[in-house]
Amino acid sequence: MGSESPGAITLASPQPRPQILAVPSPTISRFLLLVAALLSSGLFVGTWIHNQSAVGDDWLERLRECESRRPPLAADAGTAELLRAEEWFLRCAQPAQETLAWYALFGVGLTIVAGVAILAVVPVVIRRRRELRPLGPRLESASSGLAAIARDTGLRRSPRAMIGSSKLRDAFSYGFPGHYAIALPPALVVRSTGPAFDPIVRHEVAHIARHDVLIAWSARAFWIAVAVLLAAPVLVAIVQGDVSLLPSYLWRAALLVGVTLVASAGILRAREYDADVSSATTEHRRAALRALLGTSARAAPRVWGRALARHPSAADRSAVLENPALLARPSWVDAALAAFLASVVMPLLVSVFATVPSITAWAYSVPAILVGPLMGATVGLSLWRVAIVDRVITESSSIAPAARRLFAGVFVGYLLGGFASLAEVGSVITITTRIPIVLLDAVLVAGATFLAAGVAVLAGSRAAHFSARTYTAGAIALSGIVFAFVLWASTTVTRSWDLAGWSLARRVILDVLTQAPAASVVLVLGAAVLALLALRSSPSPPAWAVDERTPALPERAAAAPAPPAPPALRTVLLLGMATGAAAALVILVFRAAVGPAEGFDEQVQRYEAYTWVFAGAGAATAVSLLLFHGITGAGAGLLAAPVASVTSALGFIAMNTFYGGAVSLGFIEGVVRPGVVLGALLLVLVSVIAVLPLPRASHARPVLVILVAAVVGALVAGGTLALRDAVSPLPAVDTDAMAVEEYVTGYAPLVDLRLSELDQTVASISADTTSTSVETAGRIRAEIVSPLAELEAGAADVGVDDESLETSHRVLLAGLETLARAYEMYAVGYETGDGELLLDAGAAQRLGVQEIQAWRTSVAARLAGG
Amino acid sequence: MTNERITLPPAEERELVRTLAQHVLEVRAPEELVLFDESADEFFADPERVLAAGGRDEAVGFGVELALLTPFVLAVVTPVVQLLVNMIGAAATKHGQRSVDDLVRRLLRRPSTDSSNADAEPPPVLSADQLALVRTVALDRSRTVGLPEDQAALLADAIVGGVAVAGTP
Repeated sequence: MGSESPGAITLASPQPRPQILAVPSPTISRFLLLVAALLSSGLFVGTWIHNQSAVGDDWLERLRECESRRPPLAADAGTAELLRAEEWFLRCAQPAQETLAWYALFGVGLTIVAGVAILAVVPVVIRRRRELRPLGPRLESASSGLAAIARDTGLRRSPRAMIGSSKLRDAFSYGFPGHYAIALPPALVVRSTGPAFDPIVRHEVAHIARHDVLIAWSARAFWIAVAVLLAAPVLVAIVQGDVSLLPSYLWRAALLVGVTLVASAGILRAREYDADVSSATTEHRRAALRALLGTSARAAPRVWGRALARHPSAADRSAVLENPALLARPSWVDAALAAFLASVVMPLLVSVFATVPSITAWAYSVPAILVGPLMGATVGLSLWRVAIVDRVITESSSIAPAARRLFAGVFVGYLLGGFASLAEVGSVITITTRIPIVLLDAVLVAGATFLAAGVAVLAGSRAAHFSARTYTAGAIALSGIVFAFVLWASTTVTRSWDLAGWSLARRVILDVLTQAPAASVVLVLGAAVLALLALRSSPSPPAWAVDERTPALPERAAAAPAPPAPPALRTVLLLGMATGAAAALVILVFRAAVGPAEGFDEQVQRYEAYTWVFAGAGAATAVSLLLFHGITGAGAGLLAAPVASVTSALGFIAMNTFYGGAVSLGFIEGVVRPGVVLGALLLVLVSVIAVLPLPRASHARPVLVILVAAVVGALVAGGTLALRDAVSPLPAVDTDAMAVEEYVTGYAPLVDLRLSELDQTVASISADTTSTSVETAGRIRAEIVSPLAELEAGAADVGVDDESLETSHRVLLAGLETLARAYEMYAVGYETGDGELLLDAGAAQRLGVQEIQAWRTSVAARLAGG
Repeated sequence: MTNERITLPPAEERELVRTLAQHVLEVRAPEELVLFDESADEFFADPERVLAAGGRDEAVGFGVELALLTPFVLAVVTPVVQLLVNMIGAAATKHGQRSVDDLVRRLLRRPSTDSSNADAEPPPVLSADQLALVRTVALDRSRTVGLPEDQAALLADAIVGGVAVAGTP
């Protein structure tokens, strides 16, 4: 992340000069986040268009209908009932929801088309407004000078040289890939052999080579498109006189437009530093550029102007040229802006996926997979860059303060974004209600910063084994996985919390977050850390990280103090195993003390408590690692935590087998997996203690580190088991009531929905005037009689113990049988043309409908009576 | 010298301004002469806009502004030419001599528009006091248009030097 205010890191001289652009700046990912946030606004605009049209009225009507028929839930309804009721509702509303989703996507398309259209006319507008014209033969010297610099820089196609009117005083670039142009001020053109020409043109050519032109103008084009589109709801609301949504909409839209503008300017400022550094690769060129910057008479803007400025101050640019390490210093503001954008994007993406039942299963994972790598590439890449600069400049280690700054930025940005997302417009959930939810969300996502920082330090210490490209790819991949995992988990938990409170969130944590794909992610991260720790740490930085024009590496390596060492692989593995063993020992003591579980519910309670013990063992490793190894410990924790969780789970399995429990691979996997995943998530939370001024990676005695981890693991395990009633409350048991509830809230609504669908089929067949009688008979048998028979067969298999409910169920069975018989009579009547039979069929149909209605009434009465 | 102010037709005045400005640029920034005509046309079309340009924070720009000297020279030379017209015009009216325009042209060593009197008379000569006044006006105007003090002084000197040298027989 390019720093905005490089600050005052003073370096002793002589210093090795880091090759700062060997690891690219994370401005590309910041730009992609910006575009994603702008495009996601299109989702809102599309939804708004939908709601304003007649289609929106139909959608509302359908949802009202589904809501009115939604089976009510008892106050103590369990997760299964909640999910079943929600599934029923989604199926009911599916057609309308699909239409809504298409409108939302249309909004994105509209934003893209508008943005691209603006982008396409930008060069024409620029040429006209800035009165640009080709240089022409009189100014051939400037044209050829520019072409020579373009060739020297390696551009395949030289940008076109344009000259502006005498009002143009600063050079700039514009155009599209392959058709770029550089607008030169006349004062520069006429001095093409002067000292300013080379630095300025090299700087502009660097912009073109680094695709800054496309980034800058597309960010602006999409911003204009979104600002206009977001203004439309305000104007329409005012015209229609319905401003009820404006209070919740206006500030969110304004904040989004404002933040994207500031973020865009921040990205451009960072790209200016990069263009300076990449264009001035020799001391001679740096001196020329610094001299030119020294002539700048531009006044430093005030605070707000500084936030919107597209160029850093000349003093800051000179400082970065002098010491490029400053460029690696990440800014908490940039992190906050990126996190804000991620935070506003996530709920909008989730809402689109959650809208359509057929893709609801992907509602949390796909947005996380899309946004996570962008956050990883933004925050993680910054930290990996710091880590590699720390290897070059060994006098100071800046990774810990950098991680704390980024943590603060991500936390603030994600927190604000959680309230400001357009997905919350019109939400019935108040901001105050959401405070704990959004806080948890922000803490989790910000916590991922420390994990990324910890892995960055490990990778930095092993960077000599990698090329710059591999190092960069590793930064993006591993940080992206960390952020995607945390975003997925936090969004899943907080959304379920939003939906039905902590009771559902607790179930989702245990049942949904612990699925096999999540465990695979944890294992991949653990394997990556294992591989890093297995590599030999090198005291000297890789050659690609050092400017080749500085003194030879061996001399520096000999002179420089050895960088702080992360914990050894053996220590990390032993620490994980010891902590897991300590937790397992606590379980053994507990089991010996309290004896076997009494009944299924207590078995479930213990299983859940043990799962939290396994997870807690993982988190306990991080406590010790962070205390003794600082930020590096968070990275090592990604390996130690799953080792501890697996060890404690295997210890439990051994104990369970000893007490006579059966063992199978499925059982082992089922016991180990949840603890591993939850352990990793607790690790994220525990790593937040890195906000404290922890010691830098020290040379603490491994035995002490392991011992502390084991003690903490044992304490966590003991505490979890002692508080098991709070961790996993025993359900209030009433099996009869559960069976009745299962029937009225689960089974009955599904039958009801199926019957409603059959009603629609009947209406469709009745309205079909093109089919012959025989064809109609065929349709009746295939589309009505057969499904009714299936329903009847299913109903016959349903066992009901409750006496009054059994009576109702018998009415249902009778109704289904009557209806099936009636429609079969219709079919025969159509085939034979027997009018009397058709009349009988009508009578039978009416009877069947009455029976079904009676069943519905009795079920509704049962629901109303609890 | 009377108190009555003498003004030339705009086209003639601009021509004299161009002439003196080119004189100055030949000394101060000869490389800008290649774009002089375009720059002068832009200046005369909207002097304030040309002079006040800049301050734009261009996206993917360089971030340091480079301005032509030409518009500033034209801006500074304009009141100087008006001053010269009044100085020389007062004397010309008094002695019934040729047109003011021609006299100033001759002062600036530019071809006379009156071919019958070409080279018949020596060009007018300014006194030391008059040259000092020219410098003062040039310096004031340079400061007004925002030139830094050192550049303002250099420009004023160049203008005075141009007028003095040109006016030397």
